[in-house]
Amino acid sequence: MTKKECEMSISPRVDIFENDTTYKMITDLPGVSVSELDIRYERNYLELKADTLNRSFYRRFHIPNVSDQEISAELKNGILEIALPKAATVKARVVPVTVG
Amino acid sequence: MFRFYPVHTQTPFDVIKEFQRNFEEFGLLRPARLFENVDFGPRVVKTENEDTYQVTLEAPGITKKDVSITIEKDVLTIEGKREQKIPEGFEVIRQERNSLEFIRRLMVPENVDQTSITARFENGLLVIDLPKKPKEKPRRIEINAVAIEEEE
Repeated sequence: MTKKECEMSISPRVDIFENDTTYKMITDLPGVSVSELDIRYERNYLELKADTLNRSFYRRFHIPNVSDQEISAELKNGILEIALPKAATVKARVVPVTVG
Repeated sequence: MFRFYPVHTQTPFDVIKEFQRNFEEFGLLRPARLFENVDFGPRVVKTENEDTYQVTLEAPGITKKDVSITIEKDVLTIEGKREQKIPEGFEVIRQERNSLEFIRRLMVPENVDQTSITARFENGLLVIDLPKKPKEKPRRIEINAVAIEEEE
């Protein structure tokens, strides 16, 4: 993204949630259709781009330790929901202790 | 280009809001950046073509049951709300989106056929069509051809 594009685009509002296994990112993207969306996860950054006829949206987040092959996204009524399952290493793990 | 006038009594803050919206709609400047944390309510865009005026309101996550559109005299009122929910079993890391409760009143131009206004949702936009009344064609008035005899 060029500097100019960056200035012209809108930063949509984002909520981020987590539980033990997953990060969930929810964004308002009114007027955006699936074909206008571009979501990428690269080098621990999630990049979100949407270009409609009238406007463009852009956000970028540092979300490390994500199992990138399992990221999924759903667009409904102008709301985009992205689920980013945590990589095995960051999932809380109960360490069993044995009696010596 | 037709214009809508805000109907409600304006406070100075409303004036700023309206100013803000107008700027946004014409895409001239982006004063929104200055007021990043202030909620100006949903963005409304108004357009028109030969047959129809169109009002588009940003309503992400809003469904039919959350919104009401009424028209009384020449005032179109759009009311709606959206409640913000935290997904069950999740904790908040970042929360920028707000619960939304809005009311917008718009002046409807005189030449709108109020009985044929329609509304629909499109990818989180509420699109309202206000068809124009068919233009009245100029009617030619024939001159009566019957000769009037002059009185003697």
